Amino acid sequence: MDNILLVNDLHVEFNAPEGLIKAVKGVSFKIPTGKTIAIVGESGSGKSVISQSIMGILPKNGSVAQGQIKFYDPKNSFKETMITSIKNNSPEMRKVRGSGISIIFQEPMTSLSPLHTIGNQIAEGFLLHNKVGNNEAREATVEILKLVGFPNPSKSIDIYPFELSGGLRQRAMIAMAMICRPALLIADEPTTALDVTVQAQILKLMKDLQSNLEMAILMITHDLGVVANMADEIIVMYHGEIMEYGSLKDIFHDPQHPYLKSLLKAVPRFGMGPNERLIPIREINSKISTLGSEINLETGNKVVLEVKNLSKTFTTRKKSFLSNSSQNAIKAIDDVSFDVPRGECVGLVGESGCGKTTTSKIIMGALKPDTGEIIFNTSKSKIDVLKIRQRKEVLYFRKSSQYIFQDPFSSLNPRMTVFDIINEPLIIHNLGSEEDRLNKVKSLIEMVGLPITSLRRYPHSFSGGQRQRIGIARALALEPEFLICDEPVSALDVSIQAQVLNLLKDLKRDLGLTYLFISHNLAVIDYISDYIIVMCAGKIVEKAPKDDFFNNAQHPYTKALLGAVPEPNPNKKLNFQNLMDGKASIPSEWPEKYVINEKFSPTMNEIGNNHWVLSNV
Amino acid sequence: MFNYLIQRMFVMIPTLLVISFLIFVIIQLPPGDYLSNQLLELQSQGDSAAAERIAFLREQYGLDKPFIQQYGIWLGVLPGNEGFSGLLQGDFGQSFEFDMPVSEVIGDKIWLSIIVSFATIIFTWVVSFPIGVYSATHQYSVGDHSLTLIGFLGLATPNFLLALVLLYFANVWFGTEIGGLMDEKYLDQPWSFDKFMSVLEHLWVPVVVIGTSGTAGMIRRLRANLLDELQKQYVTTAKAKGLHDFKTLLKYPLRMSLNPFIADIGNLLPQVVSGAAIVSVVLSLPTTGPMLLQALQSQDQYLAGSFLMGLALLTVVGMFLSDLALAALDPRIRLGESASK
Repeated sequence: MDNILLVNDLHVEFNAPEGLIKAVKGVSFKIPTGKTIAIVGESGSGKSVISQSIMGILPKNGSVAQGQIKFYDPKNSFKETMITSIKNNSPEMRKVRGSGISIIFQEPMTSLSPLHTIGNQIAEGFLLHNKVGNNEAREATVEILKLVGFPNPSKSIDIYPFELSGGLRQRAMIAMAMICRPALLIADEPTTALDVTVQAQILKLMKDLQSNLEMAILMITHDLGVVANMADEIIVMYHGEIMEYGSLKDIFHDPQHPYLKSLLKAVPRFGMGPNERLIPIREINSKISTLGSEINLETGNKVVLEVKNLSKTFTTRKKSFLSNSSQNAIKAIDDVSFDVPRGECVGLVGESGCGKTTTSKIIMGALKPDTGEIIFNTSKSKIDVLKIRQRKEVLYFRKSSQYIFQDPFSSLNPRMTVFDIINEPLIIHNLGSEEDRLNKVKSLIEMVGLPITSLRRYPHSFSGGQRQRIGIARALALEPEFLICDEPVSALDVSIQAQVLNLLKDLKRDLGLTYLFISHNLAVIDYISDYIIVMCAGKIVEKAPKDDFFNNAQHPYTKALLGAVPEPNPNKKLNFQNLMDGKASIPSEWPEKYVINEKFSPTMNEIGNNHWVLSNV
Repeated sequence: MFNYLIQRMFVMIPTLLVISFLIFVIIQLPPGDYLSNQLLELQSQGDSAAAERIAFLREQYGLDKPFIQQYGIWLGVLPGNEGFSGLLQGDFGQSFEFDMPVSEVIGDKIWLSIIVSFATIIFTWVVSFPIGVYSATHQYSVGDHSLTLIGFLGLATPNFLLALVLLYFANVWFGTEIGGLMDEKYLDQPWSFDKFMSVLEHLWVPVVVIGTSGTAGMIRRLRANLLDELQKQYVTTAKAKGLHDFKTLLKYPLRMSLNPFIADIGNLLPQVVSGAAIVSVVLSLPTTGPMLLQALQSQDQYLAGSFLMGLALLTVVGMFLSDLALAALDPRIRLGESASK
């Protein structure tokens, strides 16, 4: 078989203010025609730098210090182009880019210019590499849009990227990369920013296109589930070096390198034993100690949080005093009810826009619902959250329920030291003397496994996982009974994810905490939750205890969601037939028993064992 | 979109009305008026009949009427001595100082002002764009640093000082007459080709003087905007398609970084017209800036009022135009209402 790309002993260096950084150290591999090679690694392992070197789009301060990249263009009878020895902006290199090798990026919104129509941006590459007129380019664009599954391609061509959903944007991006039928497609985390069901569709699309066009794919990802579903050969990278390089089967069934072995153990997957723990690559030492007042699980109400019939409508109004103001009401959440029992973790799952964050914001009092009731039972008293008026009540409520945020970078004030960040809640609530506070902050930082010396540093000197732990320490400062965790690990690397998840699990066990855990990642939810709630289009469609949920899912949306999660197991590949052609998240397209439309408005019905399904009975 | 335009037009009307009222209040705030100043002056010269004459004039000009009525007459919603004749009817009133209708006083000068202003704006853009783009694409190079230094000098030098320096050198090197916007012999002549050339010959000094600080500021802003945009992923995407670096720059990041400049047009217009007053005094330019200053000092209320009204109109219309241009340039603004939830 012919190779289309050879990478030989590649070294890439960056000239950073803090000195020379060797991002890639002696990497060699080859890509055969029509095959998929996956590069797996954590952020900072140098996997994206390799793709940038191949495309000749390294940032200005980066350069190839040593080694060769050779590209053999099958369109030109496999003529060799030595990418490493030609200039980035030279005509030869520009001919390779877009025509021979194309790339798609992680974030489909920022990868497209918001000021140009997608047709303009897709056709651009075609016009550059073919001597054709505008009409032919337009035809080619319509054709490629049809190929990547755009609805109504001849109309979509004049649409701007911000008018499209994330999945369609990524399709447009793929169309842009494919229009010149490249021999190699580099996909740099192509589905990381997408919802699971959309991810499955995009993966299917890439597979279909690959077999249609006989194109090779170089897939860069940190998601072992995606790799297991897509790759023929796998390269595992760590700190700029290849740890392991082999076929899909070898890598998953017979991992050799300790790094790969531990990586496989750090990823949460379905069907883990009830007491099985994830093993993080770097274990953290946390000293969990109760901070004085212990929470007694036996006293107080058994249910910490009761959410009853919550609804919230957002209206986008086109204001104009000439025309009638047309109101556009979107039901963000619709009749949402659930309980969170004391000492348990309730997982709230759903895709972006399903209303899970709105729900959590209402519970925290950041948004006012249209209707509904929220009762919060602390071990001492009962609070009607939506009726809180006085400052005293607000303080009391805040003290007993706290929030852990998704983005560990923007949720910590960069101008405060770690000590100030963790200490701030204590000052606001005027707790203890200065010395008490110092001791408390010290024990908090030890609890999340960071050294006491880190208290004097600023957030920027910590990694994402460490920052998230600082955020957890801040949330715990007031000794809350209840924590809302809004996607706390989705911004973290796989290996770090395990650390944070284990920490949250231990804290819950040892401190008797109660969690509402919001995530789009079902494997994470499976690992940490006791009870699972699925939301879609503002409604709860199914809620069940964990085991029931995974073994006996009823609702078509839940099934589609479960079916769309790629598992890190090459023997259990995704079944693309389960995706309902992307209609799984549209309530009016569900089968008759579950459909929501003018005629049917289904209700929650219990099918036993506290397992509820939204259905028409 | 059409609704939006109509709506914007309607909002402009109350805005201008409120501004006109504020202007009138502020002009009337200082004690006395033009005629009482005049009276004091004449009396000090020993003119005994002055009081009577001034009283006649006061009635003539309607200065004896209550404030609100004066405002109404000026605006044209209340009848004055000559019936309804005010701003709404296109009559700007009478200048006391020049004893001429305001429109005639301003007449020629407003055109010269506009010429100077537009030349300045064009100068600013033509100079700052290439430099800003160069600075951004060659960040921290020798060229970037030296251009930045020159830019800061331009920002820091007081305009009138630069004006004096340039005037001196214009005279020594090119033999251009000091001061004015044209050769003296064309002063009250009708427009001709020679007069036009003479204006061009004199124009560059005030344009450079008034434009330097604006240019320097714009270079800094363009550089900063462009540096932000150059980092963006879509620039890499365009390069990955095989687009030439320079063409990429023109098509994507440069266009993205234009928005703040277009949004700025609304501010630029009145700023250039009024902000150049001191320079105009130094250069003795026959533009409107010095005249506004004088009218305000002598409480020539209709002249000053019409002037300020003109500036307000320029601002409001300028904002409207820049919003239109923004909508034309940026589909997110044009279509954003319905697209972003």
